[in-house]
Amino acid sequence: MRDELADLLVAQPIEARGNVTSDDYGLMMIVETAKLLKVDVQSEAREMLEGLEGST
Amino acid sequence: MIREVAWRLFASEYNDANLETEGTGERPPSYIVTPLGAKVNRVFVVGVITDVENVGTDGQPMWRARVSDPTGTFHVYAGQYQPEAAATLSKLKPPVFGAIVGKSRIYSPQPGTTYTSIRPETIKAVDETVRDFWILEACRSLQKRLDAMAEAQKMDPLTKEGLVKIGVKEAIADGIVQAMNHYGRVDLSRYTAMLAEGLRYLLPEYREPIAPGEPVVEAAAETKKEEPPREPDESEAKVLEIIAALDKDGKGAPWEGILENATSKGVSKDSLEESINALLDKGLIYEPILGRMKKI
Repeated sequence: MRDELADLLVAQPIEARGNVTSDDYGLMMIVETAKLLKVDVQSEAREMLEGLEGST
Repeated sequence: MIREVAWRLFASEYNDANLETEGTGERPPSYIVTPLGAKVNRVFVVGVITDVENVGTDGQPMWRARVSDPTGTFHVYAGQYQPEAAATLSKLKPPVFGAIVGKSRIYSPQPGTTYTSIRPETIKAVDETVRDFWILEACRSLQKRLDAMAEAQKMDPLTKEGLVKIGVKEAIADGIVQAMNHYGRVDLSRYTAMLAEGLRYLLPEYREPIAPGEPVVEAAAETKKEEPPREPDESEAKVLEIIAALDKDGKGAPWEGILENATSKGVSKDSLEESINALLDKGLIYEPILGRMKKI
């Protein structure tokens, strides 16, 4: 089961909504809804590069 | 104890680091602080696993993997105390895209010489989409540190509180102050160029055309556009000879022995370190375990 979840989730951009609690170990989120996000990597990279080249 | 976040950062910045610090508490965590102030206890890297090798023994394997990103190479070591990661590495068939979460490690065999590596907690084969998204995340993270460091370099006196006041997160501000105290005023243009290189890597208009028949993942691994020639020069050849001669048990020549031998042959420590770095870059030697060098 862990491997199956890892196959689906590892390194994937996800939008998660839920309640967050805080304790000595840091933040913990009980997720109510989650969806995988589709990120347009090229558009974002192009935009960042233009910003970078514009500032130098 | 709060779980340490896994930093997304490029190999070149990680490998530039030579500052190790300790946290506080009963079991203080250790951190590697990079020249841009990333205070790294755990990393998350995605790249091309270009080679995997058992540099231990059959009975006590120690798997070493090289993971390439657009800027350089991470060195990953997994042994008996990382059973899951070691098992995964032993089954991988490079070249393959891999995602690795692991702990930062730094080894300093001699003052002034440091080697960074990763002790993996989990390793997973992934695809190119995941790798590309990681590069974008690493670029975003680098951009934040560059902006914060640029502000820090303008401050006099530089304080963590001053950085927090202008919106830098506390954890990053702490790393930046430590980095400035240790590395001084780093040349940001080098890291800006690294950021541009990472972003261009994601854009097809900047990518090198792939040769016909070349496996896609191999093309992705081809990050060293200006690879130095593989032939060693005169002093490198001398060092190579010393390493071969001292590797009596097949586990590699110990650093102390190499240094002693090189010094007796008139090779200065600086020149030795330079030669070793060049030989590593040329793929003529590797580091089977930290502190030992082996001829390939």
